[in-house]
Amino acid sequence: MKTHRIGMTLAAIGLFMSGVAGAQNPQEVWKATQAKAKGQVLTFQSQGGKSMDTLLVEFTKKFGIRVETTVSRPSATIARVRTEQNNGQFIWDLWWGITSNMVHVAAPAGMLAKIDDYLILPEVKDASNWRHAAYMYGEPGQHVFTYSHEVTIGAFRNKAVLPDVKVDSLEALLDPRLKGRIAVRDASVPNAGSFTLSTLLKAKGPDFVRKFLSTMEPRVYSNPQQLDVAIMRGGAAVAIGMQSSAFSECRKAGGCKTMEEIPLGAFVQSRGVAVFKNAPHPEAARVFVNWFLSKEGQELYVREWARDNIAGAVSHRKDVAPHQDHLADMPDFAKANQYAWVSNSYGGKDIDEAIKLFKEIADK
Amino acid sequence: MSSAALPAALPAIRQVPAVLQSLFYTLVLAVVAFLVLYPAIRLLVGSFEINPFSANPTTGLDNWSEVFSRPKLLRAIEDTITLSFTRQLIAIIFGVTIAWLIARTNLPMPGWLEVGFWVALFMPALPVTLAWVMLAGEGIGILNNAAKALFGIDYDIFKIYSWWGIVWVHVMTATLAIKVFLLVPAFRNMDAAFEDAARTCGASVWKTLLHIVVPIMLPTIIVVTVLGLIRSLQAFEIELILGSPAKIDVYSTAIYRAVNGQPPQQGIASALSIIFLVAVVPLVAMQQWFSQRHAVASVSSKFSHRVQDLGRLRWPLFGILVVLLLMMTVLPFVLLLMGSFMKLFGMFDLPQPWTTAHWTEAFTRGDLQRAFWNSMKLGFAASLAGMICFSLIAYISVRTRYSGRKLLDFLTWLPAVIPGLVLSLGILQMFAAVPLFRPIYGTMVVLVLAVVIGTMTLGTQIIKAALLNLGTELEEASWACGASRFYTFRRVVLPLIAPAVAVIGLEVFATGISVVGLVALLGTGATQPLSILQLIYLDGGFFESGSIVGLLITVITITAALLARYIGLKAGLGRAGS
Repeated sequence: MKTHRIGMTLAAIGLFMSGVAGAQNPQEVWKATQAKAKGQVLTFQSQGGKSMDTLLVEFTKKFGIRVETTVSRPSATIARVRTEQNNGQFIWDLWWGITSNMVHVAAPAGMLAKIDDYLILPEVKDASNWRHAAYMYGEPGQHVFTYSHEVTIGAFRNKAVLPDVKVDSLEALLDPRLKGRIAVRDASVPNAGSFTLSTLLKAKGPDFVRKFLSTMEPRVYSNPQQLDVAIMRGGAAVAIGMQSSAFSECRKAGGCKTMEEIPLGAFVQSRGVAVFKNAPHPEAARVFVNWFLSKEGQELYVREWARDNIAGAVSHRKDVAPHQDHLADMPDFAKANQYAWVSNSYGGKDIDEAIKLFKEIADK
Repeated sequence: MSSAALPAALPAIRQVPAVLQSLFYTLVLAVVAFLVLYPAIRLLVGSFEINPFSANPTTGLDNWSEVFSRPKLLRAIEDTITLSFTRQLIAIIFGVTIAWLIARTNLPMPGWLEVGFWVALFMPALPVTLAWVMLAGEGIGILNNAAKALFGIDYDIFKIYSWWGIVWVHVMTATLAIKVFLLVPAFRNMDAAFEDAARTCGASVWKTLLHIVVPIMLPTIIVVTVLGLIRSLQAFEIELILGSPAKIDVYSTAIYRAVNGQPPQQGIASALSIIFLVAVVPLVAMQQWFSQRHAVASVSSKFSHRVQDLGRLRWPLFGILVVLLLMMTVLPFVLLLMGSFMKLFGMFDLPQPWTTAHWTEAFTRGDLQRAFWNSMKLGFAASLAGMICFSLIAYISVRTRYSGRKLLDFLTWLPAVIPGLVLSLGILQMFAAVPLFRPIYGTMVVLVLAVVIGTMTLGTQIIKAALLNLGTELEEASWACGASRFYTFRRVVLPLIAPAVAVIGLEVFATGISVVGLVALLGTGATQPLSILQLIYLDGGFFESGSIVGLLITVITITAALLARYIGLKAGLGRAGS
């Protein structure tokens, strides 16, 4: 009985202490976390990019935390980290990049930690600081914080090829004169091809997509450059799944004057950050996540991203303006339902269906 | 007689007891067995794993039933077999002829021609394929457009997106070049007495090639052909680019798509790989059976090296080879170089199409320097380790009476018969799961081991073929004088097989600095080599910068090759009989 009382008392003290800790000033927690993280090496999985490098240099300079980045394709990251975790190896802290695989594979497989457990700063945690609260996280489990959403157009028309054919509506894609003159990116895996098909699917339904793929005999390209060159040099009249950045770059260089976007709808690619389960350097991960998602971090991100990329320098933070040249990449959240959200849980089914449909026709 | 013959005075040498020798061979067998069987067994286990990326993975036969119910699988197998056999047939006929011309005739500038084929072999496959698209692509190809303008036609003469387009690009890239690369050193080591005898009996140069040279070199030719065939059956990069628009699918593209799915369909990729392994193993067994019964010792104590006179054909044949090499190297190289200076690859009709920005971008990246040194470390370490390990394994397989030698030889084939895309996953499983490897996980040692495992088949089999062509009397003379096996190997055997070992060293080096699949799952930021950096550029849409890194890899490999050749020539290697 006495032992029981002592236990109760200790539990009460514990609860009280944790309550005190919970009520601790976030700035103090933030400072303490920084102090603990100093000298740690943050291990990253990312998809690379020069802008990322510059950001990380700034981060190291500011907090004294060294960063070891390993650049991998998302499918490789998934296979690798899952294998390591299954064998009790936890060597990665963070994953940073397009969120598709984080949301659709890593989170359901239990490979990620809850990102909320890593948020300290009120300016980051406060949903009102973000453009749309429903799009702060990649999935309902809240493992992936999405800091940037980029509207992408994946369908283009070259008017120099078959100039008499007008492609001003989705129905026009079924014009028999376009038969064999349409280039499609191999949509059997998640890429701009399957993303663009998912927008078509969202707008017109599976029967239309099935009819389009089977009757128009599109030419399938597996390599993105190959598809871009095919449409830009007049090898095809219509391209589905073209990289819009290539089109922008071509326009910027004074070319592609006979090309235009097809009003087929747009898909949204999200970029996010996630912390792996049992991250070996949790304090360093905390510092990075909070700094990167703060106003300062996001401003730096937008500036550096614009320096290296033709599109996508937009932040989901309300107080961070998109780069002047990238305004069109910002989604209109009032019309959010019209987009195919390919990298978060809202659009998962659309991509799966697009891939399934594409494979079904290709396998015939 | 080679300078590699017996030394004038042998030092006092202690013989290693037979039991210790046997123990050492067993240790080698055990290490090789572990390194190659672990990934293979993991593959088999993986083929029964269902939904490995879900919270509750299970086991069953679902992957196998899905594989066998694929409607286009048979068609893909048919295309794989016909494409592979066709290009191997073309490549082996031309490869043997060219290797013989370079190694055993008075063709002008044979050394430079050989180097030309090295350059073709080391060119980066993906950008070169796209360069061929730029040349002969339907609707956009420079050659097609020139033909239309010149002859007033409205159709494309060249159709690169076709069955024959795939064969052409394969032959023009590595398929033919690797045959010449591997066969020339072997041909050089052949005793000219055989050809002299045939010529004395009145046989023509070509009859001598067909009836004397080819039968003598058959074990090596078979090894090179079987290896080439297995590689062809696994190829998917060129098939993806050129085959997709023409609706040509091959077996390996199914594995590629499974591995790159969301989530990766590892079970299906494993099941497809197991089927491939089972289908290819008889080919390996046939090769082993053949090489054991048809080995001809072409290098003996009476070795002589004289070149055959081509007569009036000398210069015309030289001209044909130069044109072929120009098509294989200069043409794609120029296109690649042009592409790296273009604002947008292939967009010649922009108002200002040229720029140096991609070069600036590639060389101002902080990670380029680190990746460069990582590649050098990986290339050299894997090359050195490969030369030592493969020579040892080949020697045990060919020159000892160790009871496990046939098993050892068979095991070295396994890394080649497991498709590269899934072999890397098996190797990852091994390094992640085996406690012995944990201390080195994430270090350069792991990458070196992966490259050595990945090149084991080619390395061991080529050195083994060179050993089979080497008569035993030189070693027997050395043993009779009291030399140990190791001393004999070092002072007698190694100098005679040095050209083959050097070629393997070079190939492993080239693999080390250009490899993607084998190391993509194992490297960390600190150990990532240039090849991964190139992949990062290409994936990130920076195709031009990726091409620049590809060119850099080619230049490094060729420089290393020329350096190795220069050192080899200085040391008198590669001039058997001199």
